[in-house]
Amino acid sequence: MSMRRALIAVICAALLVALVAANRLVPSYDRQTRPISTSGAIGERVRTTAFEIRADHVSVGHTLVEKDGLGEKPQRTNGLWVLVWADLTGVDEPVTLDTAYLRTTDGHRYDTSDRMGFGSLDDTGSEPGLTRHGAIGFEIPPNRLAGARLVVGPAGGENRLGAQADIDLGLTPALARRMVADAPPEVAYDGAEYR
Amino acid sequence: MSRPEHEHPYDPHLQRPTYLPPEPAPAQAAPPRPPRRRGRFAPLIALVILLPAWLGFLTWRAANQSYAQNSYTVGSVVPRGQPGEFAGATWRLTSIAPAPPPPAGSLTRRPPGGATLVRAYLEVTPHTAAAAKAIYGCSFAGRDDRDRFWDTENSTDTDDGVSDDCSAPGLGARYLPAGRAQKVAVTFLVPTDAARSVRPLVRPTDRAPYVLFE
Repeated sequence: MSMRRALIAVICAALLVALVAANRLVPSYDRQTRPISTSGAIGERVRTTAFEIRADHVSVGHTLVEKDGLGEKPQRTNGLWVLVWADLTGVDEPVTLDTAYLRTTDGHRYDTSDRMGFGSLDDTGSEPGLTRHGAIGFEIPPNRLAGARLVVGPAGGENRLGAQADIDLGLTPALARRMVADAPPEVAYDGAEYR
Repeated sequence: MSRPEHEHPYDPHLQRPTYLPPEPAPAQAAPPRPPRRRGRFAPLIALVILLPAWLGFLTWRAANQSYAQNSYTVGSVVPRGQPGEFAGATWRLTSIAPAPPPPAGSLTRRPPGGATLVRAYLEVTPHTAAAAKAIYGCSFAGRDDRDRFWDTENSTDTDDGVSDDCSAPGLGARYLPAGRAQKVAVTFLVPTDAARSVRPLVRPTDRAPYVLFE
């Protein structure tokens, strides 16, 4: 009899501990409503509920030269221009990438450079069935290139439970070192185009 | 005193022989068997397994559910060939068809491979000057039979002097004249597989839901 009572007491205590632990596991509101992220890697097609993206390569340089109908516009950076080239397609409706940033291995976040013109892929966006190819531009310190990931989504600050793609750009430390060391003085961009 | 003949010394009624084995004690009723432990804890075990499984399923379902709101809320549908009355104006879809390739020298770029330009013509008649002002900020979109949406293609040149929004054609921002039917042309760049089924959506004012013209 006493054994049974002891067993029940142990089970009750365990359930109580489990209850407290479960309560602590309840995610915060921000965590519950953060964007629904789909992971992928460079070269892969990442499909979310709102858009499809395939990052194909990364180019770097010290000066961005944008070419448009009015000529060339060189813009030098103190850091490094990083252009992530990708194909973007809307799924059910037009999409622009109002959220686009590079997340570095040490947790820093670099938003797109607002010095890049409106021809960038994130601004131009795409529509269902019509794939656009272009680049998303960032200015970052050269020592933060290794391990950087591209995070993009269609809505800005209120992208609650919205679609998001999180892409590993394959920038290993060795590759990043080589890219920084061999970075050309200029990297050119002339806007996003339909495929 | 002699013992009677029939009184046998071993007569059980008289004397119990001492060498016989004692009668077995009357059988006692067996105590009730306790229920098996496994049976008693089964509901608890089931709860411990099923509850997390159910919560896990709910979490998985919530995580995979699309919360994306469609940006193009269709409030009404106007049957083919019929006019619609919205925001104090009469709207009618007069034609919709794939547009011919842009002529040489046009501002319109040729559609990319696998895409087609589709042009819709609408007739808009604001009944009053106030209605013409109200619909000045109207917008358009296209929807196909697979519920895909496209914005209008702005970099096109209709080459026919027809307005591509709810303002009077020509330079400057002017309201449509009240009481007169005006042609408005809207162009969509869509994948070729949507060219036959795409239909225009009209948002008469910036706060109104879209109207689908079939």
